[in-house]
Amino acid sequence: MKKINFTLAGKKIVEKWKYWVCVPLAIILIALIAFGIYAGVNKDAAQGINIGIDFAGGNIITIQTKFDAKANDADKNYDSVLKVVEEVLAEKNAKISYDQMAGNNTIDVVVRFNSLSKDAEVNNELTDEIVATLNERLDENNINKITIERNGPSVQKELIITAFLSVLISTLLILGYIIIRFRNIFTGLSAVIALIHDVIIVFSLTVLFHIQINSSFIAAIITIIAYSINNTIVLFDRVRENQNALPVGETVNNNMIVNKSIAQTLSRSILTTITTMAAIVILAIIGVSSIREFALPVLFGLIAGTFSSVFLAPSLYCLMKNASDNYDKRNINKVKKPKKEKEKKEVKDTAVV
Amino acid sequence: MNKNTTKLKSKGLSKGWSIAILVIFAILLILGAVFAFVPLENGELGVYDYFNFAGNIKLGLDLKGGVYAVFDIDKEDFIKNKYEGDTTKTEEVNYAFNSAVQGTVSRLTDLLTSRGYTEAQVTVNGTGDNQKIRVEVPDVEDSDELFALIAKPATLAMYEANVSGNEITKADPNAKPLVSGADIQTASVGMQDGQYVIQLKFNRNGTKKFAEATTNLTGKYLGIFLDGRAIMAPQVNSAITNGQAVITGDYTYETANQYAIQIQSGALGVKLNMDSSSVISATLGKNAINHGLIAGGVGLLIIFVIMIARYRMLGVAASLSLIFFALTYVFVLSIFPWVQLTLPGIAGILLSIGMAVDANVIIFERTRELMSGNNARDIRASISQGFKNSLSAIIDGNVTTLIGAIVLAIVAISSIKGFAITLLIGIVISLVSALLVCRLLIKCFLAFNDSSTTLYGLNVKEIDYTIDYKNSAPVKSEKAADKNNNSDKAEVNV
Repeated sequence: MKKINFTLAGKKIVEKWKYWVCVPLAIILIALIAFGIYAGVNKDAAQGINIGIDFAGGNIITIQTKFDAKANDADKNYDSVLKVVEEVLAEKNAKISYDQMAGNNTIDVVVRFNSLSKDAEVNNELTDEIVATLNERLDENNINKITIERNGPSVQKELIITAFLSVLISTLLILGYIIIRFRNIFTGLSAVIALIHDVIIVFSLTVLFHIQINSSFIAAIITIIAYSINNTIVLFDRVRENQNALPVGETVNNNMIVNKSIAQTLSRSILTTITTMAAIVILAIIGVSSIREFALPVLFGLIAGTFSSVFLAPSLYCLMKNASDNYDKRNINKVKKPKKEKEKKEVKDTAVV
Repeated sequence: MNKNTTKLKSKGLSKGWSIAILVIFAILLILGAVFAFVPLENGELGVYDYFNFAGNIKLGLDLKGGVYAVFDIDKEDFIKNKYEGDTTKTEEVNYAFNSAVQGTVSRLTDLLTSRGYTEAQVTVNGTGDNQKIRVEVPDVEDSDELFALIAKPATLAMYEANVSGNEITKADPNAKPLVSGADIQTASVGMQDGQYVIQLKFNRNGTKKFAEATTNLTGKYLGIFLDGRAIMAPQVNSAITNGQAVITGDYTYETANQYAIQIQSGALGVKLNMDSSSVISATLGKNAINHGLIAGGVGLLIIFVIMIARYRMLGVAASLSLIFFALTYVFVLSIFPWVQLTLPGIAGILLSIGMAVDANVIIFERTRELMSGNNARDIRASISQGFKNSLSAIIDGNVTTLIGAIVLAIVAISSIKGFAITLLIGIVISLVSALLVCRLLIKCFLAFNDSSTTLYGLNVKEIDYTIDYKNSAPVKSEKAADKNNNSDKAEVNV
């Protein structure tokens, strides 16, 4: 039996940078088309992205029942009421975001769902209809009171602003750290571009699959930023090591060193992706929809992060490094003609750098 | 593969030591697991009940639910205070009222966050005149008291005062307050000279007013009144421009905290009356926490299988140190008071498990490489060199993540802050577990049988990863295929 080995040893990777760049561009393009379709179908540009009630606000129904909260069949009674609510809301095309059991002695069923219209009055008319239908369908012997109210967004603007700000600051600091540690601006730049790529891809895929964006999405993005940089660092660490291993005075094709480093770190990249994804995949499979809203973007991010660290970041690095090396060489050649002495000195300098 | 075991044996641990360390480690793990997950009640431990520490971790609204209260907003009171009961300017009043409600939401959030309810949620219900404020806080003991205090705000005001003996009176009974409750950003409990005090922090406007007041009153008395009752009247020594003040008195922590909450709710701008309050279950459903546990458990199992299948005994060591990591992590989370676990926090833990094993993967892959090829080393040399070679990658990778986590913990607000701290703790523990614990375990294992290919063969593929810069085929073939890249070609020529 032939064993399948994942290996990129001897393969050219960074030379094919055009392909690697095309992949995220294609995803972004498809997401844009999907955005257009979602927006077009609903005839509302805001519908292109599935903004959840945490940001947009919505409605909240509270059904006060007469069921005993401490009885053994409390969960069953709760579920029976919830099922009716789900049916009624589905008829109005409303999307349930959260359902909660409340109440001190008797059970209250609290359900939050999206706003049914931008116009508050239209929304209120529709929610009144929902209350009327619920009153019809639920056994009045079990129900005390049904109230429905508009519920404002739970995420404050400050949260989004500070989240954005802190991500920006940490990205800049990370960039600085990498540049200092690797003594190479291109390493830092390509690592940070890869990071930005990961975030954009997560956002694109979230739009594409019309996943509801709630406050947990911010956390998902931050999670990705925190973890994804790691992969890229491991690769560039190997590049650095391979460069340092060069005999003094020798220089080698950048592409070759980077390709080799990718091959050397590939099995680690694959394994780590599997180990980090294992638990999140399980969470996405067994969790309820609001858990999935968080787990899926994180999964997208882990995959995007692996892709960008194996293919994108090293390619970008080589592009920039080669361009800069060529530039240096051309400058040296220019100096060569007028003064020979100075030229020698400069060659020495660049070799040290 | 050649192995020179006898020569290096002296470097390793003796069998006796290894057995001792492994036994102690096993006992620690088992004890840790028991203390983490099994509650011992009814005096099983002897004198008092012990609650498992995993159960002590505070959980957010999304995982465990909590308590909510709906407050009516007293619009009449608002009009009476701000417009002296003038109901004619409807539009202007409505606009002012709406912005006051918005202001109240963010001030309430501040109030709750400063009291440790970092996962609290404040939302506005209804529209127009029927606006209500809905506050949800995770399951906490004193929530009833908290809600009661919010609905019982205290108005703080500062006037120029006359002091005679213990008597404090306003210098001018009809004067408008120099500084009022609305100028206060936060009120919190602090310590000064071993006494509990109420610390006030003014907002921008308040800082200006307070600076002005203290400038004008230098040498005189500044009276601080709570709900019209004089509390204290310190003599002003110099102008205070940093926007901070401290109220001293004979306070216990509880009374200081109560006043602080009341002062801060007095700054809300609208009066709130409690309409209803009730317990509420987790937003993510009843099984949210179970789902997290199942995902974590299955995820761990998958990792164990992968690690052991690929790295044999090294995988066993990594798996054991991973259990150590998980238990320590849960323990530390349970003792840190400001950690409140939410779904992102759980995911952070799950990912940290993956990342903790990542360091081991990096090391073991390195070890595999060192065991392959022409210059293959034996297992001991490979492992020790593998740890050495991987260190810079592991450190750099984790430092970048640490930088991100620290910035988030400092800059971001409440809920994200908790997540960042969870992340921070995870990184530190994972480094300890991957670099120290795992290495120690491997050393112990190697004391028994380090020549077994079954245990340490690592299934090495015969791929030569080494780069031979001098006279090897790869350089030439790369060079030959790289004709389109002229500039670099010249340099490869060795």
